[in-house]
Amino acid sequence: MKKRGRGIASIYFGMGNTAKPNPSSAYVELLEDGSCVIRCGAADIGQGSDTALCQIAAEALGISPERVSIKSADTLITPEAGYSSASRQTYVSGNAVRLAAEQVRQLLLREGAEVLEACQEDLIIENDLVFVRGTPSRTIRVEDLCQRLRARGILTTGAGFFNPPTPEALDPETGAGIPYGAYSYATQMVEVEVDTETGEFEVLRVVAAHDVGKAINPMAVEAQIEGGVIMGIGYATMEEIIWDERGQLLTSNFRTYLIPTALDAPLVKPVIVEEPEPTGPFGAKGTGEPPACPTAAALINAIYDAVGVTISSLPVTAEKVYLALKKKRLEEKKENLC
Amino acid sequence: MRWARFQVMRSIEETITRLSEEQGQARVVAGGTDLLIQLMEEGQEEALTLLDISQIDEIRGITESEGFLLIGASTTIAELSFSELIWKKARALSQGARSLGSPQIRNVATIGGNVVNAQPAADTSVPLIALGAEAKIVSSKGERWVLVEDLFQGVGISRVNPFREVLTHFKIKIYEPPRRASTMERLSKRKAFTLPTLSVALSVELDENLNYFSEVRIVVAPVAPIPWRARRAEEALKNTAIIRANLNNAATLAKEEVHPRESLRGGIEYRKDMVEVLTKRALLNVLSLINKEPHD
Amino acid sequence: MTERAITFTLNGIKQTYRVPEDRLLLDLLREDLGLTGTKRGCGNGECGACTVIVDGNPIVSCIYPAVKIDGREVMTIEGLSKTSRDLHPLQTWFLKTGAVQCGFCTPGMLMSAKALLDRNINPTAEEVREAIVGNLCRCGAYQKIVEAVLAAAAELRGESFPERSEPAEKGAIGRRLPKFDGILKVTGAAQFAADLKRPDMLFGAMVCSPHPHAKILEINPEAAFSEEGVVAILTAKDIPGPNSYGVIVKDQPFLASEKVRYVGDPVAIVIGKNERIARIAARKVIVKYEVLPPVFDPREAMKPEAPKIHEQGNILIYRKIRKGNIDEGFKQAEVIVERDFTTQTVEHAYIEPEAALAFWEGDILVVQCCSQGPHYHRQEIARMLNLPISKVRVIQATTGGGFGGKIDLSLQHFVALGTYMTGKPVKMVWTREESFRTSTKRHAFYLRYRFGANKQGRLCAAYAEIIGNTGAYASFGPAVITRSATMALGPYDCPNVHVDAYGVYTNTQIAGAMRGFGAPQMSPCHEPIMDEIARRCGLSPLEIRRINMLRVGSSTVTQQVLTAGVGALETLEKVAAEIK
Repeated sequence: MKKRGRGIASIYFGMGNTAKPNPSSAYVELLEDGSCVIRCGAADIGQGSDTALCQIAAEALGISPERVSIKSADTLITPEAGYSSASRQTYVSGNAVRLAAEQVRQLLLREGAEVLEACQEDLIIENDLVFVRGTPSRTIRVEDLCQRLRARGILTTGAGFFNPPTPEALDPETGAGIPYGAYSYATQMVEVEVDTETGEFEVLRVVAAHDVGKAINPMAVEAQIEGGVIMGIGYATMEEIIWDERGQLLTSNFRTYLIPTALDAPLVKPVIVEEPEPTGPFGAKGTGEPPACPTAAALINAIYDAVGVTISSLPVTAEKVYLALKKKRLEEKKENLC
Repeated sequence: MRWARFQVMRSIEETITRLSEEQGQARVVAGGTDLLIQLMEEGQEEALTLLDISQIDEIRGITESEGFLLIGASTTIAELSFSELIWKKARALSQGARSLGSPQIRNVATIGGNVVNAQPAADTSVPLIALGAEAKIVSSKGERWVLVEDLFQGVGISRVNPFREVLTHFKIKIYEPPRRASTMERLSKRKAFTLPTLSVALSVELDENLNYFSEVRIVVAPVAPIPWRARRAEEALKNTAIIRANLNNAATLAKEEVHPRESLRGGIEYRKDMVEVLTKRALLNVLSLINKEPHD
Repeated sequence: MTERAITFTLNGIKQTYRVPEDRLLLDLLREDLGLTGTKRGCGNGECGACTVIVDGNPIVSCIYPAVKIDGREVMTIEGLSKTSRDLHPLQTWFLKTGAVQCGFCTPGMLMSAKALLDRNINPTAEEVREAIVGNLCRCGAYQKIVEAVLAAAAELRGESFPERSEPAEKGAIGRRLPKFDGILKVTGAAQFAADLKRPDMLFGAMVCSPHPHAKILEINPEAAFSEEGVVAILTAKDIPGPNSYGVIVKDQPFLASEKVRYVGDPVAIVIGKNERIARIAARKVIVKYEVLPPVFDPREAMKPEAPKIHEQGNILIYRKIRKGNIDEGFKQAEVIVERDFTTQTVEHAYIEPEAALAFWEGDILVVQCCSQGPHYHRQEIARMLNLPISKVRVIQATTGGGFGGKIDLSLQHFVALGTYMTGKPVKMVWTREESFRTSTKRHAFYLRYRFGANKQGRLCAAYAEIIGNTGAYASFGPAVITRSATMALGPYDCPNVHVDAYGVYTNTQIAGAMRGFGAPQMSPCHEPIMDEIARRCGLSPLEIRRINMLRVGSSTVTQQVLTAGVGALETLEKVAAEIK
């Protein structure tokens, strides 16, 4: 018999290293043709930090992101930006890049104010143009401003660094303190169908709602959510390092250590929630880890909803579900007899 | 060297000649998707000559004649899985082939190699045995036909000696409605590309009036070092009425007669219980293929 | 080794080549022909990263003898597009839909997709999934990959495919831009560390411990040196600086010297003229051990009588949370739910195995490697070699996934030491088995939880005991346990919280950073507790969370009052909307 169930699970997750400083720095260089190069130590490992940092710089400068390039993660060329972990790069390196870009922006605004005969506060930089609010005909291109500055011996470069605000060391007795500058929150729902005869179950779909503050690149955020959920499914249902009694690994290849294939991946509906983070670049915080955190929990709740058993260990396997159901049937029989 | 020589053979005759010449220093390889991994394991160095039979035309392809299917041993698993003929007339084998490995593996792996590799739960071996298949073995001493079931000696130990002989063909009686059908059930820890936790393949033949099973073959794996025939279950079904009680009883007997060891793939209690569940399902499926509803 | 001349058509060009008969097609492509777009993810045909197309059929080239392509047509990723500007629709759609993450599985994935579309120009989503089932993607991009293949198929059929609408182009934030490094990845041009080479390059191979716990008595390299082409055999005594490193606690040796603490603990490095020689010689290094009793379960390892893995004892870290008064809290509770839960050790399983290349550039030692943080690697390597930090340069090569497993040093220090000692470029690439054995893992947790609530479902007490198996060395253990203590309760507001969290050494694989850092382990413990409390209070799972979820003004377990950016309830309501 096939039975369906739904389960939800919620988590929260602090951005950055726990209660420790973890700063990032960046250099931004606006070139004479209005294009931009960023140098930042943040390693892109597929999550898309390079692209996101370019988008942040572009926004801070008012230029189109297609004009921005980045060199990252080379210790001779790029300044330090910590690890690409703890879901911190968008939040911490993003701020470093934003601050560096702000320095350049200030140079543009000062020069632009002179050229356009306006106050700096009235200037807008958008789509590679600087113009005066209210009178869009008074404009100058960003690259022309750069060239003007150069002609006067001023190069449009900026440097910035950022450390999450107030990560304090935790009190050793009570754990009290402020361990993170920002938190991400998430709720996921898993819908499952259980085969009560074999204990096999199929995850039909997952809805994953994640508060990312602001999605710098929604496509990349979706990819992180979808990918994290699938990693969560693997963790929940099929992955396990196993040793023999002598400490030798029995699972040291992909035949014995199973990770989800395209047929194991359920349909995932990523839902981006944007509750702006005041300390984040344009309200953004991180999204790398949270998607991998609640999926197993939601699955366990969904299986209870479907068949009334709660599994007490990971991975949740067909065997565990089957044996739990078998035990439950026997207990119910005993109760009925009494 | 992982192996010393890799030579592509053009005929069975050439293969037999080379095997004799090398006197135990050469062995047959087909797709190599199991053998080459074994040879490369943690860097063994072998002065071995591999004779590749995967491209010999005379042992590739699927034909039908006089109520039998003839399958060349170097037919790839992909070719088996796409074959309409196999789907219609030896369904359990088609199901097994479709579960084996990944598309990339199936494009290279062969049915002959899968059988000679002698894993008890191999996805072609289990249904082949359920279908009563025979294999043709050729050596310098001549040729013989052997039941596939008799080719298994232990885990990874085949009665075919690849240093002296070549398995060239399989012959299967056609299992097709109205009187005959076959099916395979498989449990595994992942949806695809995973070794089975448990497989059950079975074939049945009904009498002319479709009242009882005149022939039943049930194969279960991995529950022993070789593919397991659930003979007590088969005996209980033969020549009995097709009613649910008999089917359930047979499934229970199948469970009782297997004694699997603890394994990474699953615990003993679970796998035994699943033998009963899968056998029952397989029986119901095969009956539905014949459009026969079991009486209560 | 006998060689044979084979003639084949590769990416449309017919050519003849002499290959040794034991050459694998993957190595012919990568090493002999310099086509490094096709990747080695496992060497066993089990991950699909090495997929190429032979006579129209996708095959895994890591277990396919090169001589078999004689007389055949082969396509690799390099043949999919004529130039990097003139991309195949599959490549452009992979970029447009966001199907490219780390890029390591991408070439093999594109080959499987190409072979599918050549056979079936109108596949269903299910057929696409079946066609790529042999291509593992650890970044989990399957959904976007399927979308890309369906879109490319539509384009090839001459139909249009609905593209996602972009908001009016204002500003750069919120834009669904294809990744800027994407083109390199879809054309196979991205240089991962294993793709790099330099003239005169040597290769390093590890000698690792076969025992979970043992004293090293003697390392005898004599037999290994007899192998022709061995240049150096390096052990701890060759290390100029201190023999200890670690991201938090420096308790891990660059190379084991007195003791080994897990199966896979590196003991020596053999440097040879090529990979084959280095690996054969590595197997010939004889190490004499005195086996010590091992301990594998952290609950056992915590006991005073357990074998000592490190001098200072087996408890690496103990972190506590004490908020409010737990005894009072449970006294007030009208509903109490207890739950014990255990989780398993898991592996990052990035499809790219670890790889690195080191060389001297003038007086600067350069290391190109997979990495989640090159500045940290630089620091440790400089320490190891007693070099000023400015004389070490670490460059992150395109990295095929990390998930927390490529922050610690894995083999960067081995190649650095090799280059330092030999003066020559040294490369090392791990096999999948080496990656499983020697690299870090996610902590397994043993959890005992107890939550109390009043009849209205409001939490009033929460107790959690966490015992984490941190494995043989500290790595990120202290950080994982500390973070776990702060997240043990889940996203809820509770006035009385008591957490005891331990990180304990055992003689198993090192547990370090892995995506989630404790949250994946704990949520399957606390979330079912919340559902059970809900049931006993006659509430739904949504309601119990609405009541207890953190919001602006809530106090966390570390007694931090949240002031802004708390989207927790919104995530709950978004999910609630889906359930309706």
